[in-house]
Amino acid sequence: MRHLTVAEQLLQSLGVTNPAEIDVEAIAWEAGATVKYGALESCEARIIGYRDRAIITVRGDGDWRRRRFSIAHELGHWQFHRGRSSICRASEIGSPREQGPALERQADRYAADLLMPAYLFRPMAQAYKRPSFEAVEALAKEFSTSRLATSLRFVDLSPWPCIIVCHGPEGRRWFRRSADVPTHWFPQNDLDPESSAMDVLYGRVRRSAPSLIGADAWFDRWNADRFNLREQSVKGHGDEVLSLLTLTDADMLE
Amino acid sequence: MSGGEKPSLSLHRLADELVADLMQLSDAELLAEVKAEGLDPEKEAARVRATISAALTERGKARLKAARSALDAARAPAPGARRHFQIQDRRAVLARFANDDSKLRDRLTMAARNGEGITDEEVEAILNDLRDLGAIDDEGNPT
Repeated sequence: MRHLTVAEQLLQSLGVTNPAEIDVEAIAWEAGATVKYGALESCEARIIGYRDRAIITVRGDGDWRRRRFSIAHELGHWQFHRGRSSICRASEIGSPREQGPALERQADRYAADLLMPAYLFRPMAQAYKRPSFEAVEALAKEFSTSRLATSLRFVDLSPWPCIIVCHGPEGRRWFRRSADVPTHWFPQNDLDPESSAMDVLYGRVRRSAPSLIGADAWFDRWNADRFNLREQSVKGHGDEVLSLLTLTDADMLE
Repeated sequence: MSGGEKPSLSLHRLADELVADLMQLSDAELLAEVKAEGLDPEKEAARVRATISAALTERGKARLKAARSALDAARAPAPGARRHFQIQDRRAVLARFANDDSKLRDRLTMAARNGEGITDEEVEAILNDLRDLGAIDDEGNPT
């Protein structure tokens, strides 16, 4: 059985039994941090701490779900990096890339655990018959989180072997796969013309329906043409396209 | 129920007392008590665990609710204008504070170009935070 993370233990100590109860400002207050909103020019959020008290300031404009994640990220710094003040740029908060400064990744993991605790998220994700962006968006609504943050959590915690891939016009930008997916399934840099992601990338549709496609459209591994997988793509931020790939053939997991 | 006490408060107190009573009994005493009452120890243990867990959850919810109330109250606008700092070199004060904090020090020394460095307004805001936290006084001296 999976142990509760630090953030999940905090939520349970505060009696959180459904996502609507995750009041991130009140949780911050409990942890000794006051949340303020303001005009930040050089960063997205910061935390200034002194002894056992801290002030978290988050940009007041933009998406409120993003603000929640930023607060939770700064609380992660407060939890793990107390004694330091953090001034975080937008690129340092909620990055889907697994590289980057370790302190920021640790704060991101804390934020994901706090806003989408596994003990609530996993059973709710399992209730969907199959992975789709519709399921991700429904979960995002339940947890008051962004589609991107929720899709990353979905890949990490749902029971299906899936991969989320982000492409721009110049090629693949990043991807995340669930723990069940062997690392030799490495998405190709360029989109295949057969993939519905291409229609989304070039604006012909904003979202494709989930459909089966040959795995060789996504992977150039020697045996990829033996398998099919399910793909769905949606328009992401700016010129990005997000694709959710579900490995439907058990042989791909060996 | 006692006169003016809120029902939820009584419930929490009852739950606390229940937990305290159980904790005072040894395993053998507890088992003997359960058997004497003709109860199934396994079922009874599960029932007690569920009761304790529910009580702890309720207490946690009350804590979170109290935190929300406290923070709403703290956000009420304070009377009077904000005091100005009597400091010539605000960045020097912040640099002193950032001495043991490499991330803050790096951001402070970074050029303000491309929106990467901390602007004068942000320096002022951070000093305000430090004063609100009790780290410095109006002259920027450590308290």
